[in-house]
Amino acid sequence: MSDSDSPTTPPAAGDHFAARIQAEVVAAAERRRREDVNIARVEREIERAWAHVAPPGAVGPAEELLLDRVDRLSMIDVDAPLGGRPGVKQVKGAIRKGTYWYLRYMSDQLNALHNVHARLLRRMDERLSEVEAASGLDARLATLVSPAVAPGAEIGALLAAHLGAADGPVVVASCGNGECVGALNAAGRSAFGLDADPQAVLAGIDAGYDLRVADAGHEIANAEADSLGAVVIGGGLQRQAVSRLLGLCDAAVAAVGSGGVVAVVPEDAMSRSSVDGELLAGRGLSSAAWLRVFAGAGLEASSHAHGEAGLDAVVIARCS
Amino acid sequence: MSPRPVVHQFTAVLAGRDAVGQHTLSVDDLLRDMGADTEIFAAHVHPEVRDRGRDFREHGDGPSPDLIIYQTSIGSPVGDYVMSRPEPLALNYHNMTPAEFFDPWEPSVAAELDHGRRQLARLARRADHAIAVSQFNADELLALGMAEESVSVSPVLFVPLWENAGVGLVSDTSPTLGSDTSPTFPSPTLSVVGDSGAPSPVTILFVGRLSPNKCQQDLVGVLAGVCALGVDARLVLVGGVSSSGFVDAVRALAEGLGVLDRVVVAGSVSEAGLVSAYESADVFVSVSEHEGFCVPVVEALGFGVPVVAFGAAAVPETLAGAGLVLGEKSPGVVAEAVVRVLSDAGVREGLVARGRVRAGELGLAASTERMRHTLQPLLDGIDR
Repeated sequence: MSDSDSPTTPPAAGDHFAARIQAEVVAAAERRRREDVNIARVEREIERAWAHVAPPGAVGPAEELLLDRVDRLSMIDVDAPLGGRPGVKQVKGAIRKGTYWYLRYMSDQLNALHNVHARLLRRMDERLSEVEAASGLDARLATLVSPAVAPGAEIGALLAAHLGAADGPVVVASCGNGECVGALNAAGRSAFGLDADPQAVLAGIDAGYDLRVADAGHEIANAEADSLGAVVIGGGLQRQAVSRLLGLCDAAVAAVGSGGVVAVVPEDAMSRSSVDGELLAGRGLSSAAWLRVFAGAGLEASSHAHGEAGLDAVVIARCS
Repeated sequence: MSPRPVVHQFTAVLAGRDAVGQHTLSVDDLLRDMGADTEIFAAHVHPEVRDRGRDFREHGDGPSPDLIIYQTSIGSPVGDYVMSRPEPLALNYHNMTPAEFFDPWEPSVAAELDHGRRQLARLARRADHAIAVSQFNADELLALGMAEESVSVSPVLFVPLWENAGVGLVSDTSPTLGSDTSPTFPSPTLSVVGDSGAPSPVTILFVGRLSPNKCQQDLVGVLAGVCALGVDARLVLVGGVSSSGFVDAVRALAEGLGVLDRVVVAGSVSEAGLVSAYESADVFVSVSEHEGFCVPVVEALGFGVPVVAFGAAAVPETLAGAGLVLGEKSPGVVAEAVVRVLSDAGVREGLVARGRVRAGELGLAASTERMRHTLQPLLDGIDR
């Protein structure tokens, strides 16, 4: 069976056209939001107006509503209707009397179990929300810090030289303007870039690189096993909690499979401004830390210096 | 000479104009063409197709078929019946709306949808084969435990309205949300508020039931966004009503945003009315969050209407690059996309050209051939 459309699947020839327009549209909308306060006001007004007229649960997270539903569905009532027709009523009544004592006992047990489950789910939901709030890089913080430095042409050439026999397309996550993708293409590698920031990829799309606006972390996590030749993880994607970075590393290793390559281009934390340093404290790993992560995963990894500013040495791990 | 295989199709409702009904009838025609003796059974057979189907409660009285195909789209007693039959069973899965969408609006409908999903899980365990109309649907069946080799993908068979188009504009009695006037569908032109010559407003079209999973409220938001960008536009919603409470809320939203007189609720229209709606549309916009295939999107492509869509469920797969698929559906982004499509001739022509190719790929002829290849192994496997 074929896979459905996914940014990690190499696109058909016609896909670049729509992908390019999509990136331009999202970038234009964001630009307009920043420049035209009226647009932002209209969007807020639409949200408020719908929240005002829609019933509870139709707006915002629906987890609470779902748990309400668990409560509702979990109630088992053994009192079946008797029916009104002569004869039927008596027969059903006799059956009910004969079995009621046992069904009632079972339904009480089941209802109690379901209610405990629902309560546990509610508590788990609350705790999960607290953990997410504590660990996530929220949208407001993302707007306060400087944009991540994307790998450039020199790193692209360096990667191309070290990919060896890695078979399959190369994905550059947090690709920025795509210079790294361009260098990989120039070296004869089939490569495409993913970046969540439409503004960042526009120049690269104009230059003819295959760049797509997508959540790279999500795409790597959902890529089919052994479907990629190499995954290059750029700095933007590394601004998340360490546990998520480890998960990302595992997903990348699974996506490239045996013979594939996972490369990391970390941001150089030492070259951050003092403001970025404070706001991003604890975000991102150094090259040395990545070497240890890969070693812990049983991979053979090496560090490679380069001359691109703002980025630490490239760490290349080969999967065997 | 071996006897002809006997195949019985079952469906909850057999109607000539809905997508599942058209598909069922087309599959019936195809099976006959492939040499099978066929019959269709349903819980409800609409009068317009009474000669094509029978009540499923009469099925047990006749001879047993070699194969049962169940058109699976909603929970139904028909599903329980086919599970009780001993013959090989193939599901043709069109998807079911998740109950969560209806929870806040119609709890009773949500309960029915829940029932349908539970029945689907049982059907997936019982079925020997499944034909999903999209990969998205196939993935749901695989998640329910069906073996990969038992599930194949073959698109919906539906009558391509665009091949018989050109009947001209048809007057329509569809009211706007805010008045009882009878709007017509004007010719496509981009008009900007304040331009001289008072051109007619651009028409944003969506075809599909007024239903919480289709998110028509977000289309009203998009309309407000488009108007905020200085474009004189109106929104035409074609399709029956699944929840009156939802429609009331959409109306209240339109009123609150000051665009009530720009929203036309056409309801369920005739085939000529539907053709007219497509022919008069400047852009087809879908912000639906759940579609198992989305026939209207393909119809829009066939009519040469550019499509802007939120990339949810099977929609990206159906469009396959022939429309503008957005990863988010905030009013600002979708409105920007609509205005771009309307104002940039290169983009519009590029989308229209790709759309016509895609509509051809999903047209009746191509999809029938694909279905033939999917059904042939099932007929070959019949033990006679």
